[in-house]
Amino acid sequence: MFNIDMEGVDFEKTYDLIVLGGGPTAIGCAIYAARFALNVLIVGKTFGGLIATTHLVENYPGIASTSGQGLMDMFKEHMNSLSIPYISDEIRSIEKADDYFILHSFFQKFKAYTVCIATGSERKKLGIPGEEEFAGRGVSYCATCDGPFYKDKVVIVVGGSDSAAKEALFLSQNVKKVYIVYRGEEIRAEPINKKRVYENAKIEIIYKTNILEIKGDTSVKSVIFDKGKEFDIDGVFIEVGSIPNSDLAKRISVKTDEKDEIIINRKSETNIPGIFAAGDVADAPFKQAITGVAEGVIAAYSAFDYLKKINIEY
Amino acid sequence: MTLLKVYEANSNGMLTIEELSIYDDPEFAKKYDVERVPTILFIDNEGREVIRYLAAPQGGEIQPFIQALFVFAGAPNYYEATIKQNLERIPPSTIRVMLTNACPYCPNVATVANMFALASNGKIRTIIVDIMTNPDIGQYYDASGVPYTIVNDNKTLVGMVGANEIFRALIGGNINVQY
Repeated sequence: MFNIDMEGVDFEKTYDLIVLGGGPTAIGCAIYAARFALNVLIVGKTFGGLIATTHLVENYPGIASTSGQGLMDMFKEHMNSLSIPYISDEIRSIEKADDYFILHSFFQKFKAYTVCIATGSERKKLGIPGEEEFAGRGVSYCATCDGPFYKDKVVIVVGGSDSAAKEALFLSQNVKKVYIVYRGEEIRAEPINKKRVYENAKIEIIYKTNILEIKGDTSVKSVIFDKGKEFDIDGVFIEVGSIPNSDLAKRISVKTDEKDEIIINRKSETNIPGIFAAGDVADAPFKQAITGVAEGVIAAYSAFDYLKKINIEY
Repeated sequence: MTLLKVYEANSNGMLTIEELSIYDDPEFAKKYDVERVPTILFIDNEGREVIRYLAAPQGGEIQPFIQALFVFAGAPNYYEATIKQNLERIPPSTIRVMLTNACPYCPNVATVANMFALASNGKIRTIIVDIMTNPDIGQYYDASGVPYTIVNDNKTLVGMVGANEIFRALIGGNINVQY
């Protein structure tokens, strides 16, 4: 099964469910939908979602320890066993037509009776001078992707979350030194990762500090702290949270909250009948792969239930 | 070569791998500007280079490589209709995709770039470069992050990008699509 698998894709057919996204939430939803015997298609920008960049997953029940990519490989294998097609594309608009939806992507048009928005989130940017200029040249949002380029170098991880701690731990395997720069007084990592950070001789935490600017020539050379100090560095890994990919939802009048997250109920229903949402793009307070999968699974069941109610034969 | 022989052995006779030496066949190497080895080339019936691999198709890169082989051999290409509709707007182009085997998002970008090249009737050429094994190329383009996509040497797309972003970079505007 490929990233863009045309086998089983029918542009004329009205799918029972089209799932938007490429992470664990989307795939969990599609797996359950397939097992409910629904015709399901996944359309996602990139397969794997944000979790694919996580070097260590130790809290997915049944799997003691794997990488984010390893977890997604297992998801993919499961998806393939059910012959669920996946298309790498983005839906840019959805319109209602009779009892189904028409989904317009950049490259095709699809039809579906129900839609699950599981488009996840993307890394938040710092929004400081130099960040965009040096992206891919010393500024990174993915330690798994770019860590190998910094062997024996000195890097900064910006942020104080569990993800930031894990990025620092991963980077410490190769680099000479990792500084975690955090504006707060205590990093917010899970206790197990906090302990690992504290015990790691290569990691040092700089508290109560913000970065105002990233400087360099062809690549990053230094950062300016808000206390005025210029700090020499080879790379900056930014891990300051994420923002939901809910632009499409907002364009089609799906209700979102003040954080731009899609408002769902316990059935993963949105305010629009037939459109469901799940995972990082939705308004759950605690966002994990496992919680996203659970919401996706509920969305699949709700779609199944919805199809019965509108008398669609599936 | 060992890896490609594995592909050949498992292809039920559908794939034939031929090894060429730049020393024994310098004319071929010169014709296709092969300066470093190994280089894997996809060459169409008219002798045009469609895809160049300066990367071993292993790990996460197996999938885009195999998919390119399938589409090269006639399997459907999702982007073909749109590429053909916009062909006149696409200048002769080269898409360079810098990647590493450890990068989780790189296979998606490589797949899209390969599919674009395969649908373009010779207008688009894709070059897939592993910059861990070809660090000089990474340094030349100042790339210390992947995926790092360069369209026609003047438009750089950093990180995870979708097919539409690569396509817009190619045509320099919005995509015309008629279903």
